[in-house]
Amino acid sequence: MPLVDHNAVHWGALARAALGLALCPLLFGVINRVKAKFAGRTGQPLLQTYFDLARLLKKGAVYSRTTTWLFPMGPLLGLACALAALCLAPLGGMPGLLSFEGDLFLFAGLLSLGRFATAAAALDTGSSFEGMGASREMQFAVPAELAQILGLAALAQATGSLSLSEMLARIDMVRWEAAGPVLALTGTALFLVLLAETCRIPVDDPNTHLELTMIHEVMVLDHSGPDLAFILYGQGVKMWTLCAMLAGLLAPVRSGDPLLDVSLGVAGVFALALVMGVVESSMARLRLLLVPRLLVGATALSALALILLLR
Amino acid sequence: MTLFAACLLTFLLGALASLLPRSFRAANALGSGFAALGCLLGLVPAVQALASPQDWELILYWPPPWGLGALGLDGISALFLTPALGLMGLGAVYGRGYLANMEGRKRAGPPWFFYNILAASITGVFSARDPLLLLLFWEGMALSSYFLVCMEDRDGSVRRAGRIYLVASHLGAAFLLALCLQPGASWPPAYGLAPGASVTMLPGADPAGLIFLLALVGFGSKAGLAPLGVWLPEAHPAAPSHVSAVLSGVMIKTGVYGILRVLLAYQPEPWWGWTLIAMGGGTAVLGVAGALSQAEIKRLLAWSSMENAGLMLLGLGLGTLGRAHDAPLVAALGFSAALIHMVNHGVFKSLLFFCAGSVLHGAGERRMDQLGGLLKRMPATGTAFLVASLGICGLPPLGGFASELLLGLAAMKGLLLPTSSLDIPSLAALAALILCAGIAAAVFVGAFGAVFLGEPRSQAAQNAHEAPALMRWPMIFLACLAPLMGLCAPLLLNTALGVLEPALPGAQALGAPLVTGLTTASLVFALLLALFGGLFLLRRTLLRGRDVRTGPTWDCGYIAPTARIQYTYSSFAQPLSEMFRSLTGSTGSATRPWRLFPVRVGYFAETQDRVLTAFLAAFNFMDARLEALHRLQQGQVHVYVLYIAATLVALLAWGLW
Repeated sequence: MPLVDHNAVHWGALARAALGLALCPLLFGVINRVKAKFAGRTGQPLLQTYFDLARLLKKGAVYSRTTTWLFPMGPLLGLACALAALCLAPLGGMPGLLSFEGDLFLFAGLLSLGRFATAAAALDTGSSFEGMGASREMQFAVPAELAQILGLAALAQATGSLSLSEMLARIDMVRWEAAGPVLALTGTALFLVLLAETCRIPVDDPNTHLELTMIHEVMVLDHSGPDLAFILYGQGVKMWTLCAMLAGLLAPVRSGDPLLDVSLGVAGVFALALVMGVVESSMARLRLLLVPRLLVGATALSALALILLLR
Repeated sequence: MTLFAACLLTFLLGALASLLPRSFRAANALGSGFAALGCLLGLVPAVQALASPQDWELILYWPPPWGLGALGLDGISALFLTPALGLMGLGAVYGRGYLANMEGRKRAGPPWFFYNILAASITGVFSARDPLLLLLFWEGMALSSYFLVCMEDRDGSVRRAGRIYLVASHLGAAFLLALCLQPGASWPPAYGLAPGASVTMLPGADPAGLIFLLALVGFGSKAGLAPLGVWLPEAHPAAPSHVSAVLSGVMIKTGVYGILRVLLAYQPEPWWGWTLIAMGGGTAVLGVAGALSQAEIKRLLAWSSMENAGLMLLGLGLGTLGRAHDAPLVAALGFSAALIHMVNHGVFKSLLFFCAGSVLHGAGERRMDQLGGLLKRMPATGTAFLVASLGICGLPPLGGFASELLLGLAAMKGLLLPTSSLDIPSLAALAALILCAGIAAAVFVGAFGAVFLGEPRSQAAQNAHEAPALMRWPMIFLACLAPLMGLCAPLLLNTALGVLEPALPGAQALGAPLVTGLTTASLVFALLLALFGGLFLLRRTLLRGRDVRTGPTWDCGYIAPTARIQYTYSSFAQPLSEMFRSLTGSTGSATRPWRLFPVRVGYFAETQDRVLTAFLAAFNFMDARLEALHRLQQGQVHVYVLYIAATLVALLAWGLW
């Protein structure tokens, strides 16, 4: 008995997507506030990212003479992909705007397209630093994508459904009691993917600048003004989307009341932001050569979860 | 039917006509004109057969011995033939522009003679209705493509590639000979033939299994399967670019076609599917890992063709397992994924080879690390290459996504089956698919970036110019087709399922929810494009009237950048290539800076094609073992006549006994 009507448009999801659009910059504020508390600082305002976005959107832009028409398209396509992925993702067990069998591949494909666009725009500048960042981003994406799809396949196996909305709607306390260890393994793997995809410590350090070791920040060095605002906002939307999915798995309370479920989902998202802040405060960035091992480890966890579920 | 006969006749006429004129231009125009016309004529019946399956046969009045000499088109033939004819027609138009700069250096007649023969043979392979005719067309295809590969015969590496191709393709043909000339063979094998019903074989042997193995080796060598397809990354890049496009975009599919026919005819056994998935997964991963360590753009594309052939085989393998284990949904998904991937790969890979040819034509440089900044100098080629790269990586708004989605769904459905029989192959197929998708994205971002973006790294790239109109229009046409194929994927899936219906009864009904699912995916594509358009307008409104400046690239404050400090393709792919070192066989050695005043610093990287090396080593081993037989091979006619006479006497004695 399907809980979610496939191939139908769930208009209610528009409100949930709008919630994500409004709240996603706040996630950066929460993470920064946690880090500040750990370090004993006051920290920047919670709403700092909103101020940054507003300021960037008001500015002009500087473009490199090396770049072509492709360069400003990178941030646009990146943000469009993040927004489309947001439309597919469920929140608090409530379905996304559209869903169909196999939409998890489309979800991963949209993230991959955004990555392709960002990396191509980085190479367009002809800068050796940006080339380095693009190379690393594409390298780390290989194990991260594998971990993500295998993890989602494990969820599909646990719930018997192949669409994101349906599989997360079916995860509840009963399912956790039946297959708790496996779901925990998947959750761990997906959390590592979340850290890699949103460029957080221990995979990437969002606060470093002008370093040979950074990945995402170095790819967007040449973007300025509204383009940079699109990139920053796209990062926020992507983080919200991935957190919403993970929160749906880790906080399996389904009351049946849409309002309560959605508020629980939002609470889950912010709780994950808290955890990310704690992780960032308590450990250093991994050595670059160790990052692939971490992500291959995540792949192994996903694969293990999937194998444990096979009859 | 008349049109189909006319198509084949046009190819033959074109082959002869292109040899006649003395002037280069006339031969070039005639050869390409006839080839394009033939393709257009053939497209009409092919599309008709696709729209409404009809069963007509064209019987030749001069049948070959023990054969019917019949040609016909059913759904499967038509589905393979339609993209093949379209791409060969575009290749003919493109080839006219491409060959034009050979004027005075080469004759235009022979390449067009062989191109027309190749087109006729490929059309014949897809429509042959008896085994002997299939073999004849197959051989025509192998020989004509050999001569096309060897067009630049002054280059030693091209001659070597041609020789490897000739040997490998005839090794494969030997297995086909055994397949087609066994007593009672029919082509295509009839649907639902019980194993051993009409085939007589050695007693005790498993006839269907043997036929499957013969087909896998014979057809698989043409498709570029891992140990047999050693020739592919050598031969495809050596050919002129419009021929490379046909070899990679069309000829590889003749191998897939043959295997598909055999798989659909017999009731398969599970080990067939396991074999296909092991070989397909291996080929796919090996192919894409090989693409990581290539220096030349056409070689990279050829390795990527191997990867895609592997993905098609994965689809066939999942479909076969689905049939063997009575899971019709997995069967329908697997086979239709392979068919749709065949169409998509044909379009995108031909487009990529056209673009690579255009780069070669415009810049005269094939090494990616010497190119760069071509998007400014060749806007049409660069944009087309970008579109094709997105498509070949299976990224969402384009057609490539649909086939990878179906393949992934087939594997997931296999995992979800209540029985455990499909678990391991499905898991392997899923992992191989995602791994390949990830690496392919890295390969094509890197290749596109190195060739088309940044600053030119050499004088050749600096002076590059856009291709002439005859080469540009086929590229533009295919690049516009690509997003349409993404939006029309449900239609394509429906066609593929309809084509499979006779062999897999109920496929269309089972696949109906998937068609709806793909329609929803197309809705998401439309949403994505709308969002992109909206953001584009938003950015334009925001920047209107503001201070928009240009300046040098902000390279972390470094003020004296040169084109040489840019990331090249080799440096871009190095981390991944290092990760998959055991597959790519790439080795690197560095001379590190040493002492207070370092004198020499350097890095040397090399890649060996391990499969080809092993293949050649096997030949050398055989050669050493068979040395004694060299004495029989005297090279003198009278000794050979003596052998014939001795054989006849021996046979006579045996007959009289």
